[in-house]
Amino acid sequence: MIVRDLWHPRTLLAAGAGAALLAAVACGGTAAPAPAQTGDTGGSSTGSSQPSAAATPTLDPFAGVQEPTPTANLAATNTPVPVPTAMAVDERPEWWIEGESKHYRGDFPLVATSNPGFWDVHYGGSMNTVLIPSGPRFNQLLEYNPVSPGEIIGDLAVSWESYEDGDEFGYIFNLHPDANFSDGQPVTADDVVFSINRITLGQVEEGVLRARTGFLNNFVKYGTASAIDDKTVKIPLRFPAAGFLPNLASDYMKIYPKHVAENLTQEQANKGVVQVEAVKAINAGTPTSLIGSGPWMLREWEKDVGYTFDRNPNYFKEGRPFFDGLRIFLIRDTARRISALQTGQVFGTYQPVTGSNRPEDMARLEEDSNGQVRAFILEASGIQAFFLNHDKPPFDDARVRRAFYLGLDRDLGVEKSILGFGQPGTFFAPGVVEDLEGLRATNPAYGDREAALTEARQLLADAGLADGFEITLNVVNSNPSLSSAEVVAPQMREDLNIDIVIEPTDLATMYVGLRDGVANFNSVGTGIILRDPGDIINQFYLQDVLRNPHNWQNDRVDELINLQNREVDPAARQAHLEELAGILHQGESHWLPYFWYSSGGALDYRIRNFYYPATVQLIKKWDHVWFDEDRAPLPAGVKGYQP
Amino acid sequence: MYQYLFRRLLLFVPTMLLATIMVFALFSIVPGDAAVFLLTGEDAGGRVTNDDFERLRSDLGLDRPVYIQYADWLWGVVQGDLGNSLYYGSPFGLELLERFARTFELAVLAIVMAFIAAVPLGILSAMKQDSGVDYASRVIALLGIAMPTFWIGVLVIYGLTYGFNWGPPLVYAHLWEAPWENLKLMLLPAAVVGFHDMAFTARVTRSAMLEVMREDYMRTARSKGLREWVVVSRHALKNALLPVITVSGYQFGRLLGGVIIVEQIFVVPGVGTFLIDGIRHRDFPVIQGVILMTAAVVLLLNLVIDMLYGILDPRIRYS
Repeated sequence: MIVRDLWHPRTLLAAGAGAALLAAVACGGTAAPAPAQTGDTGGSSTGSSQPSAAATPTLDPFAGVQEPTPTANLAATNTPVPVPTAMAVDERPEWWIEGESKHYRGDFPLVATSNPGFWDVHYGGSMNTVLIPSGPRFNQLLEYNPVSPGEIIGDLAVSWESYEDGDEFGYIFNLHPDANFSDGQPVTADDVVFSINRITLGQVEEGVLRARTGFLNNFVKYGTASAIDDKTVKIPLRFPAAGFLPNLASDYMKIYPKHVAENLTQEQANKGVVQVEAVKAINAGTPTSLIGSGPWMLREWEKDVGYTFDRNPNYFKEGRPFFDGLRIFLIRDTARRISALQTGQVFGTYQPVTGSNRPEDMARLEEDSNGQVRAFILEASGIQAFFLNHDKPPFDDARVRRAFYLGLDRDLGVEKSILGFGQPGTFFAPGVVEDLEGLRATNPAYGDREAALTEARQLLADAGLADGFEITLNVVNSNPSLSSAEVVAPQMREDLNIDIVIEPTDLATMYVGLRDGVANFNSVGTGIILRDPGDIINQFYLQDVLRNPHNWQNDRVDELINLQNREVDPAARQAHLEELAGILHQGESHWLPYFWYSSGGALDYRIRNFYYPATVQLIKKWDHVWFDEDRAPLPAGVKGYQP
Repeated sequence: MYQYLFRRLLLFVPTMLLATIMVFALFSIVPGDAAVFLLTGEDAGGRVTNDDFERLRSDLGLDRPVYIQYADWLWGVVQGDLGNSLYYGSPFGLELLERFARTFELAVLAIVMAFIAAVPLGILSAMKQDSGVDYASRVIALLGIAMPTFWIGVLVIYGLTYGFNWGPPLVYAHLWEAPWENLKLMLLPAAVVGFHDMAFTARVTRSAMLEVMREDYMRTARSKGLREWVVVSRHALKNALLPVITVSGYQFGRLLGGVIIVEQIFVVPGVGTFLIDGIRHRDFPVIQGVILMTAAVVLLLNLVIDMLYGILDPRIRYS
């Protein structure tokens, strides 16, 4: 029996029955002795929570699958490809027509985990509490193609082109002629200009928070976007930059109605107001909340219970979305969430999030539901890493940091901590800059363990730490952070005599410990928005950002960050990034990747046309999928969700 | 009597104050605040600068000295304003009101179910001491005490899912608007919580009954030729109920503070869910408010129980 089986619901039920019988026996009752087999199961179950050398390390729910797997899908999405020649306005591909013919009359039920926080996507900083509840109400200028997530296509824009005018470089976007906000007002170039200015407002105004849209500041100077006419907008860039379009297509870069948003305070913009009331207030000339042009309009929100959207009947992508309503149930408890999926109370998870919907649970759900509920497992959706305080001993010595980098057994981490659902941690998303197989051949940290440990021990000895040292690990008390700590602590003790004391805390405490330098050694998993390397650079290697709290810096790294930012030739940019990765792989920076982990989710097999996005943060509108009640069950050999 | 009541009510103030100070002190010792959660979210991605933190902390008033924050909050409480939730930005009182009604309903259902099952079980167990019935009832009681409610809750969910391919409703319906829908959601968690409380109450009932049944007046009652059920119900039960009521009152107060995990498992949007979210979000006004409310409820219930003592046992007089 492998470890995961011990947590199988049936095992739990058996363990419960066993516990009942054992209790009965223990209290001197008349119940018959518990069968030895049942008691054994309960005992093993208890012991399974600790990493064990004897535990079967890998779990491959898709072993032997010939059909396209999540990995195959992902491989195609490594490098976003802008598609500047968008389809004609009235052109609708076959899937669109088919989806419309399968329109679901009713509210489509999905499950999520968190209450909405802020309803202003420009402002807020969380996928779960900001983007998921609010994103479906809005459009961006561009979007990642929901049916081919490696491409960038027009959303509000029907076409775009780059321009050069002397020293000025930028893009001109043509807007969809029929795009309207849900109060009936047309989407105009002024709205786009207003939204771009709102996103970049922090450049000129103190106290403006743009947690996940601030990326655009790298490329666009506040106040430079302008309307050429009602439906044409020009956005000059600070410099030619390959990263601009991939960032602009992120689901966070929403276009707001100027006539509404400019009259709102930030507090009002953060509020979730149902559509009927929001429009009533707008019509009365006193807007109280945001509305959008997107496929969905907020019908109802009951805290701790869920929220519901109505389909926007005047959505400019005619015929979409393919349900009358979208109903999101909030279920925090994993057991209850799995039960809701298995019993058909919901048709899918709104989003894959590791820690909430663990890949192994989703794979098992697929088995238990006889293939009715299909697992979709998104690889490399987040990175588990260690933060070393390079300002304080022992990590103020670059040799100690490199020793740590070399000493980490990343394969063991993947195997034990995330049961094989991931891969050794590279600095950038897998396959984008570094080649793992190449690293295995050339870098002992990823390949030759003996060589890595020999060098690490020598480095520690050179740093005067030949006997190792003790250090406290400030780690988030949820998986995979905690499970990774449980794996790395004994491994480092055994290999380098480094005694790691695990101190689990909640997320907020962990970050404050990291930021304030209270803890010198920290660990937390982090999601990525884009697979573009710029995302990692922005999060971990700029100055004064949360995840580089003590401003680790290297002159050449800074140069390369600038160079790759400004480079439009993909091959030249790749060369800069590879050089950058080479420096980081010296293992002396403040941030050491451990592994990339996968995220799990599940969808009923009758949901059609959902394609694996490049990251969990993308493609959140739910306006391209439909429910095909007549779909035949998938053949027994086919594993995972199939569009 | 009234003097006693007044004294007890007066004692509420320092007790509740102490509770809030303790929570506040603990809260200020632990690093981390709402700004961190609001910015990083549960998924902890995105580029967040230290300036972003400081701005949001300032917006939320978290950059002020701890004692100022506490004094500010306390002054609001004195004026009847429990502050705004940092996460939702809305008044705590409004947020609590509806959730408290749901938890109150859950607690009432649970305590009633527990009481209805526990008292007969305890009496039966005491009447048939050391018989098969007694053993069986003790086994049930021990199971209820030994198995945590969240464990029973998960087993119930899995049992229904894998045994019947059915799950309890996901949507809360208001009791007065859709009573049947409401009960479909509330009965199972109430039964789960009630099972635990039933076990405890049954044991207390049994031991109290055994003690009372050895009293002289019980022998006198029997020697008068009264029928056994009259002896038990009129003479034994009335005296044995005192500790049972104390235990039930304590349990009811505890339940009103929120049955945190069970509420989450059964998707009941009550105080427990509110509190656990408050803790995760570092939403200080929510945590303080819930603690204050729970302390007040427990104190009030204790007082009510003490008053009930006097009614049930005329020998007890307060002065």
